[in-house]
Amino acid sequence: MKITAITAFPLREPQGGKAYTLLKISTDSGAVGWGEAASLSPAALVRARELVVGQEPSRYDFLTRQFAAEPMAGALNMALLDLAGKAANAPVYQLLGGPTRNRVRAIVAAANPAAREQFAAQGHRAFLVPLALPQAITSRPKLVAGVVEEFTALRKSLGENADFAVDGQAGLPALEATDIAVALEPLHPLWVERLVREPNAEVLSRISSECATPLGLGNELTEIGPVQNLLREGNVDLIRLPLQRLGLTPLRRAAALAETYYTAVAPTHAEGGPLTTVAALHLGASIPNFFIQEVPAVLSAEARTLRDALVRGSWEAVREGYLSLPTKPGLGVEIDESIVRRMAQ
Amino acid sequence: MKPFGKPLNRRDFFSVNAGLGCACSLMPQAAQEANNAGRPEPLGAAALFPYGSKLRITNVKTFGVTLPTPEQSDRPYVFVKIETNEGVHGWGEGTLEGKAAATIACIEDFRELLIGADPMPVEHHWQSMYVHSFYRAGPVIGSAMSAIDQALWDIRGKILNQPVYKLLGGPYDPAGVRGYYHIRANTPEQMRDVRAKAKQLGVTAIKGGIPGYYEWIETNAALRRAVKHVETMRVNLGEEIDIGIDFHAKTSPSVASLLCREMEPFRLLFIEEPCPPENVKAMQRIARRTKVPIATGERLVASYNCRELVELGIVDIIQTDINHVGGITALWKVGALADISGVKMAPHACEGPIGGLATVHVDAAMPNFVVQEICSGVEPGVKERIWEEWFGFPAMRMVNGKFPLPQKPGLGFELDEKQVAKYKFEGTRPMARVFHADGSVAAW
Repeated sequence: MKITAITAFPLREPQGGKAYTLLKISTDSGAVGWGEAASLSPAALVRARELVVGQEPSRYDFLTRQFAAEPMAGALNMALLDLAGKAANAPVYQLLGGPTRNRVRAIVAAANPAAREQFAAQGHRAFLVPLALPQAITSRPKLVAGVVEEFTALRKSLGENADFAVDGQAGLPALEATDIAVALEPLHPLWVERLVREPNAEVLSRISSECATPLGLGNELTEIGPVQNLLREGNVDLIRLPLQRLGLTPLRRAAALAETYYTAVAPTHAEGGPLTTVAALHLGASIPNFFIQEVPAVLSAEARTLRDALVRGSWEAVREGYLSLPTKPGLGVEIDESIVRRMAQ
Repeated sequence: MKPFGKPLNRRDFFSVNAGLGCACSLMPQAAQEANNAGRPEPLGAAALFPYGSKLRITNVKTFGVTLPTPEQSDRPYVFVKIETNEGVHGWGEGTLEGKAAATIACIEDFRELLIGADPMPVEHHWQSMYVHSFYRAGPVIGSAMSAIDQALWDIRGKILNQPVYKLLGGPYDPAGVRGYYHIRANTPEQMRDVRAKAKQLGVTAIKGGIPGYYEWIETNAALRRAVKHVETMRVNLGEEIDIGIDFHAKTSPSVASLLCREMEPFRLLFIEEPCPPENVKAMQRIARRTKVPIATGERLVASYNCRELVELGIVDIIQTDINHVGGITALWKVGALADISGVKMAPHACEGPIGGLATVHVDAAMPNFVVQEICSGVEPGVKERIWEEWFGFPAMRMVNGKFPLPQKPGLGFELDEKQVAKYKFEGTRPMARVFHADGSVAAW
């Protein structure tokens, strides 16, 4: 199987406005592989064609590395693995040594009770809740008390079978961030992330020495090298890396390192399309230290229908807090090109 | 010459300037090598003969022993009996859970090193087994070495006519060594029964675990259930019993940090294996965030592998196991480095009775000894009755909360190999394989 062509399709969802680009890789065997990026520059496409056309998809790791730290890396890795799976007539997770589990735990961002209620009705059991930050902090104790009150109420409303994680939106000074992390510990958030405005190692180290509230780190990384720093510094409880941006193989590599620190991985995926969710299912089903997969928050029924139509299946549907695994070769979904044309920007 | 039955005459066994050893050492190197190839006297050991005893190891017998008990079916015992040219023999144990056949094979691999050797220089043999294994030692080599080391100490004690703890400088407490039993109770009523029975037996410490299996990040429900379980244990066992809680390395540093902190109000003796052992700095993340004493080490082989735990101030109590760490020699050394560093010892023992009896000797001779484990409950079961049948005394049962010190030379017991052979080896049995609800591998 040799790669013959690479095409990019910038897409936009009419409801909600989520935008992403699908990458299509064609081969001489007729098999087609699909990947996803936030966006791809024309220059990156030119370079991808130069480097990738004529190659075998089985070289997915080597080829991905040629684009390290570029958005092309994630899309290319996804599409090449899709093809490599199809060439082997097996789901990607089997290529990667899986499955390690038969379903994938899910979490969704939900800012308010109405959204949480709606997602809970859809089957969600874990919610990533943003901290409501004031314009200016006038009183630290008041701020902390307000946060505690809000999340105590949340914990109560969720009952015994649902959980929450906290997104600090990278908005707090070190002192307030520390106080809030300490105050949240007894409420058992699954983790807190993006708590501090300046997440340097010193501040994180102070937080993790004053409490055991699990810290999720890595959200903003555009390459996996710094994961080594996070683990070595000993402040991270959950590796949060953007799957769409980095690709499956780099995340798998980061997971291999994190495993040696008994640290789990939970890929981020907030704004992208359903294909990245599908790719995440394969990663989650093949690494041992996977914890939970973020699924983009889509409340509008029209948008959900459109996303399902794009990948010809309800792969983002959650049952009792879990996503189901595809079983067909490659990423295991067919992209509907008529929907692609309809969504083209 | 009889090895015992009459007071031993040291001169019967030691000669500084005579015998076989000298003859060997006068041979040219090539001749020695040739000699070594043709005869079972290992090269090198012969150089020590002039300063050793006239005893020679003549046979190394291994025993796999499967007891007819449902409990601990994953750990058929691995025993070794080392025989000498003077009729003195020693017993040792290297039971390795889930890997019995591999450990027996590993003991057989050491046979060549032992046959024809003087059993007395135990440190020399320990070094040779460890260093000459090149890869140093993991659990299989460590357990095989442990069995051989214990048997050599048994012989040494018999030859020197002393219980092993006296050779090690003990006892610190002539009344014995403090122990704990396990609690398998789940309900408050069962826990109160254990409390009553423990009081009756004079037992002052009990160890339990936490329910279920844990992912590396956990839900509120799982965290609360674990804390509630330990709280129930404290309430129903009462304040007069020391409680150790074994996390069994089934928790990650993230989960364990939360649980340790929330269990601080229960005044625990220790929390054991809060995370797996390979990454010592990961365990440090837990230790630096809790006041609960951290105990760990049952899976570690040789003192080398305990060094970092001590050096980084992570561990309060080391729990190396005499059947895996490298026998009496290695357990004592771990105790030594711990003591110098202000760290205490509470050796693990969850295998057979020989290792159990051997560990009591080391316990009795350690200034930093806290408490000795035995994987038994307050009520003896089938296993304990077989042990009594083997040894003629209730081996590893406490009297007034302490394991009594053996009085006889060596490890302090006689064991008829025909009694042991009654329980035939039915092959290695795997340890429990457990899984999370989604089919992924869990630790128990």
